[in-house]
Amino acid sequence: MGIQKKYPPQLLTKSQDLKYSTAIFTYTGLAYGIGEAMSLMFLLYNPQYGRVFGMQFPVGTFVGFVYVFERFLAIQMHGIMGGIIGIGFSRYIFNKKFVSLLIYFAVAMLYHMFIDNFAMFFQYYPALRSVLIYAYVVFLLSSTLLGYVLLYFLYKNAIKRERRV
Amino acid sequence: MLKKFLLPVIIFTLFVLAGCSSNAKPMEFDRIPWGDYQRLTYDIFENDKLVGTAKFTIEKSQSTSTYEISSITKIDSTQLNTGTTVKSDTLMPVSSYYNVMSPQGDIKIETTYKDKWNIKAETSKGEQNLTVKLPKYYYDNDSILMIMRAYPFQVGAEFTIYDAIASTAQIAPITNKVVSKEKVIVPYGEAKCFMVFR
Repeated sequence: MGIQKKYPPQLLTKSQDLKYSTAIFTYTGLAYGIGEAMSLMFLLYNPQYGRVFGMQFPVGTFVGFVYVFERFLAIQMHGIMGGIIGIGFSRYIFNKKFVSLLIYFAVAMLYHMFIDNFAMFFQYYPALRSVLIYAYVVFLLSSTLLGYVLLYFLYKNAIKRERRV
Repeated sequence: MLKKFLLPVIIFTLFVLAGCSSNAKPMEFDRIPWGDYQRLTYDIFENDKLVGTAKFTIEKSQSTSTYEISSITKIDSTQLNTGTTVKSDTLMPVSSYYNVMSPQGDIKIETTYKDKWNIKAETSKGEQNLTVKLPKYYYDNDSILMIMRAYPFQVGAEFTIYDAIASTAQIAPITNKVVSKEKVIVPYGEAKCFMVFR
């Protein structure tokens, strides 16, 4: 009620648009993450088809707990990226801010690169695997949490900006 | 409307299919550049620091219709043992093995080349069996370095062959181009060499 008193109803509908846009893109990101997990699992068991996807997988790799745990978090990370892009999409469609679409897309990409590069960094030191596996688990968990915090603040910030329109 | 949509789809499909074709042919060679037995030892350097060794052995088998090309590569605490049985007339592979021993775990891969390429991988976690379609002409990755020595080298020549890589179950066309001649000083002495780009 407080919000309705402060802002006229035609502006509040914009927050709804942002909410739906963020939600739809989050679900799309989650679906992408699930699809990626399934595709990777198929390729781990059938590395001969890796070339179709432009990738190479070592033979004799099996899906275990580490893969399931990593993908469980990776699916959520893709959902977070989708949500961030969804905020940018909403600002572009409903506020005509094309630059916002690009900025939010870039933020999502940087988040992806941040995680990817660290994951690769851990792979470059296989001799330290027994030590790094704990660091890797902590990193994955903390970067997922960081992603949720980032999405939350970007969403809140976008709501504030929409109210100023 | 449908035509407008179909035309780009057809063009795109043709473009993609064109990329699938390859000009890989059977390997041409004048003569096999080794005798009934040959052993080669290489030192592996990284930034002028010796990091490992690689030893290759080529031996004619009892039946004399095949060669056994084996290698032992040691880098730090990792050892890679490979071996390929190749036909003495075409140098195409009959079977191969690829064993890695490292602190991260061991992996043992055995392959046989028949109508299809059968790959069996064993690790501490289990066994994986794969079947891969073979092109008409192919060479095993673990012996390809030795087999390439049989190229009829001359500056400007280009060779494309299919490389069967057991460690990733891939068959990839590779193209080598002879770009120049140069002299290389190795512990063996000074050698006149061809520089080959891949």
